[in-house]
Amino acid sequence: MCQPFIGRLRMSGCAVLLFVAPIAGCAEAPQRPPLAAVGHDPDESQQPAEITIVMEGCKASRPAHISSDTSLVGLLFSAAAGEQLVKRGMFEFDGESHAVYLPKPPYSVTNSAESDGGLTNKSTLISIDQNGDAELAEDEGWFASLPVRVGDRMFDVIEIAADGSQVVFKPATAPMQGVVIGRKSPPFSFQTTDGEVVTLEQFKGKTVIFDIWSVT
Amino acid sequence: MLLLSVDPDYFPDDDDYLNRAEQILGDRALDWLNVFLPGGWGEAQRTFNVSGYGKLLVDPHGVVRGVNLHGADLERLVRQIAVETAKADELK
Repeated sequence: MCQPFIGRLRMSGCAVLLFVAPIAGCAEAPQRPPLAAVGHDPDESQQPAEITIVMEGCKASRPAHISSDTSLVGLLFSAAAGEQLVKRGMFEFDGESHAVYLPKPPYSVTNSAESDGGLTNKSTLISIDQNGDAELAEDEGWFASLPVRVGDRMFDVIEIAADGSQVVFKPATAPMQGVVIGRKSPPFSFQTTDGEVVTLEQFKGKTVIFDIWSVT
Repeated sequence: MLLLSVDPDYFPDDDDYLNRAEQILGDRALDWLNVFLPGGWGEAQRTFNVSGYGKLLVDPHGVVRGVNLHGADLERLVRQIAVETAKADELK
């Protein structure tokens, strides 16, 4: 059975907006909470300075995240069982609601590794159910050290409470990054070996597959 | 098809991977555009939020329609997009 929880949106200035949303049990069908009265305001000065997401305990899972620290044994077990998620909270913005999930602690919003890449990134991998299907796909995982895309907005993860009881987002100034199914691809500009610049714009009107690869 | 190579993350010198990349693409007769992500995996993560090898399917409107689809699933979605595009063209 669903338990209600109260989410808080800390708005710029001193206004505080409260909303109540249900927490869906992990095995239940997705339940979209009623939308809070938080709509998209094109005036960026009206964006919330910070958004605090109150997290509640849950039992959920996502595809196992393989990192450079994953042992062979861990790889075998995690591949079958997935990765457990223990906290869930609701996040509303631009008139849409999204469920945010945390794995087991400890948590970190910084990456102590040299690369931001998924194999080495040491920050917490947050899952955001962006399509409301209660299924957490691999591409719905976002490292807390990097700007997080929610819908068409970018957020910085400012804080994750040590006990996972709350997560604080702040609207980011970062350009659009990351892919969300059903949303525009982020723009990019890369070069071929001949120095030819390739951008997203030049594929307009075409269906294109981006294939990430290496010679190794 | 656009190939996004993360090789600069693996190899200290361009010579270590550029020739191999050309050879692999030549052997397979692939004339797809191949670009390099200077920041390798870190750049793939930051730009596309992709943590490993994978595919992104983007429709003619620049909308991401699928992530890490393979085989029949990928073909099915490509066909679906083609049908949608054809219908939209008819309505123009």
